[in-house]
Amino acid sequence: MELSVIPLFLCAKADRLPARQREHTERGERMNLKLMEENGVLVAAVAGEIDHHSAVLLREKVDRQIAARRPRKLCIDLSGVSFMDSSGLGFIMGRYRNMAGLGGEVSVKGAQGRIEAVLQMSGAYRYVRKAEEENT
Amino acid sequence: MIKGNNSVKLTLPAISINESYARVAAAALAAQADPTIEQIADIKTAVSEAVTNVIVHAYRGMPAGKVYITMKLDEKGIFTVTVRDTGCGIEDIGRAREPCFTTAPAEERSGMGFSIMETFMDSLRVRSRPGRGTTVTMIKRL
Ligand SMILES: Nc1ncnc2c1ncn2[C@@H]1O[C@H](COP(=O)(O)OP(=O)(O)OP(=O)(O)O)[C@@H](O)[C@H]1O
Ligand SMILES: [Mg+2]
Repeated sequence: MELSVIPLFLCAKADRLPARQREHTERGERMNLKLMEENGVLVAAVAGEIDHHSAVLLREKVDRQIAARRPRKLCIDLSGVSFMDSSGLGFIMGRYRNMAGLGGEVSVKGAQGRIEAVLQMSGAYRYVRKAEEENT
Repeated sequence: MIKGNNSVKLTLPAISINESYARVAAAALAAQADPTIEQIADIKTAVSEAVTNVIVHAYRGMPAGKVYITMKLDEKGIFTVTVRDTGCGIEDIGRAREPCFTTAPAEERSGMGFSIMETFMDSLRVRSRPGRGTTVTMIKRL
């Protein structure tokens, strides 16, 4: 089986990576997640489509990393996302609540087109900061 | 390109894997009217919202039923999509359509689905009977 078509839920091994490891990638059917940590900032770079189906897996993977690494900041990079509906909004706001509960914050960057429209419309930017491309 | 007179009927199990199937099918029919990329994105997002609502809300506390989708594209480029279920129905449609109203906050829903459908499409009509089901009809002029 080609690596790129391994569903996310089969990647159980990745969960057992030591918390110290800097970077790893999760691959889903229509969504990929790349996690990087630098100086207490956890960057979750999502690529592909975020809907109710993929958000379930996304949530689980990101929360596991938040619990293991306790970052002070989570940056959700949406620049590789081609589709997102209200489930993506729920994912972002849910992580905002989790991070706020731990005294941390959330930023979002790279939202384009209708994805940015969904974020604007919902008022999400009242809670999560909009980061510029090269920042977190 | 000649704008078609075409229609599609789909019956899908109300399971989350079919969210992408439904919006891709809607985009494929709409594409026959030579729409802009933005119009395609609007239709995909709105159809995804309606179908996700069926999967998330309609069959709560009962065996997952089906989502019935009919789509039509007429020769004037008017795209009409209907998403129907035979689930629990909506008690108060006016309230359900308000931004930020959700009955499922614990599942990370934020109550924006109907607002998104309304904004991204030219019209949205919701009909529902508690205990019988819900029908959402949306129109987009391409
Ligand atoms: N097909 C349906 N059957 C039963 N109830 C529904 C259906 N569609 C919507 N609802 C009800 O209407 C409410 C509002 O729907 P809406 O899509 O706007 O928000 P949501 O689904 O709760 O959250 P979000 O769409 O932002 O994830 C839902 O919480 C639910 O109670
Ligand atoms: Mg919804």
